[in-house]
Amino acid sequence: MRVGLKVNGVNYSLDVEANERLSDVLRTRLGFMGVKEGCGVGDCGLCVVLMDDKPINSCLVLAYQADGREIQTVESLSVAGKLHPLQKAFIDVGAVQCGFCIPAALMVLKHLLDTNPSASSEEVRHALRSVLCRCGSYLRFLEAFEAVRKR
Amino acid sequence: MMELGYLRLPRIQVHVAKTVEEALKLLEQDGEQGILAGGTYTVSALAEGKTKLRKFVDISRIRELAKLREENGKAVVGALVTHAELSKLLGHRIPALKTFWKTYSAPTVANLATVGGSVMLRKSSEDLISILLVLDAELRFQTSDGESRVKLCDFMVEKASSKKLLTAVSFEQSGSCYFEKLWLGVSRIPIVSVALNVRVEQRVELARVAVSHKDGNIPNRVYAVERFLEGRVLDDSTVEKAVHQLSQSINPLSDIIAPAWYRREAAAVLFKRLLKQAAG
Repeated sequence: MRVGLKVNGVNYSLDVEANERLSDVLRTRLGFMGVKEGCGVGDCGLCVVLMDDKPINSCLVLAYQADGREIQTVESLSVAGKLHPLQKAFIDVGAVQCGFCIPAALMVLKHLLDTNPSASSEEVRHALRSVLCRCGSYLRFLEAFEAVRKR
Repeated sequence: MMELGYLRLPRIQVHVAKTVEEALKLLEQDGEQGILAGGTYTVSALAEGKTKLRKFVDISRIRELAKLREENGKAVVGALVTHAELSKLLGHRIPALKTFWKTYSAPTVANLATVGGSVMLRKSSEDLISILLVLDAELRFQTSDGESRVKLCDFMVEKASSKKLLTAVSFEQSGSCYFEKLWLGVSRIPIVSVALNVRVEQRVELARVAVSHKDGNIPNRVYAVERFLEGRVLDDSTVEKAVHQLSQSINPLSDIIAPAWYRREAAAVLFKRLLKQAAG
């Protein structure tokens, strides 16, 4: 199946098998290593990317289903070497421990910041429910979001 | 074989339908095909080896199934409307949908999971089913012979045909419909959930009660409790008796998440909260 994807502003056209997932294509075919696979069944959220501006689990989407869609991965956040305010805040508050879930947490919070910049802490927690952080850095993520919001 | 990551999906064959007619034609041709929509269940079931289906008709591109409209005061929700869209569009009218969203285990999944997918699963894992049950939901199926309508409560106990396509779900937009669930934070599977739709004047005029585990892991309405509530004053005594009756009227399964007795107790606690909420 021939599909066209726009990933981080760049158009890609490639042949995919029906059983290839979006996460497979993004990570192994196109090299976006920020797309992780944790559980592979939609529970952990480590593969979260934005598809047409909505956060989704890319392990639950078959690659051909993303034909014509616009995808944003964590690699899109920094522009010309300049970190996104959320990335900067993650560093400032020491949110990163093992780092495995950070791309997903950043994408979930980026979506929240874009759509609801005055989100309450309850809303931030709700959004972060999609991402399983085994290090338990949720309070730091919340702190980082609030730091960006205050700016 | 190409490396597809840690969990490889088996080889599958997919036909993408662009219209309902095309989907029905494809389904008629081969009864061994499954229907693929949001993919939140099917793709993970393929990854975990929980389904033997290898041929699918993909309906996710049928735009007419992704619409929500109103018809004689009822909401008519296309089968492809996502959980997130449903909560956003109707949460302000139906309190249960607001709670559905608040207690959603992973909001990113809600952007993919569809109303039709939940209904067709007919399992306790789908919070939406209990809510739709108490809103007297009716399912609209399309077959090559035309449209047929089935009450959701009847659908829960009948055998589904693979050759009909769920196109929409219609239901009341009740401002006194409430939902509660007990769940493990990291799991998509609720321990138990309860929904209540009640209209109270001096007495209870109408009562609809549904539990995610009415029988085993199948959600359905608890008719005995509905009959008990209707016509009574919703005071403390009625609440206590209704709660007791609910715990006696459900037969939940025991599994790795919780034993049956625990689910029964938990359902009673949740139901009591809902009744108190309804009583104001």
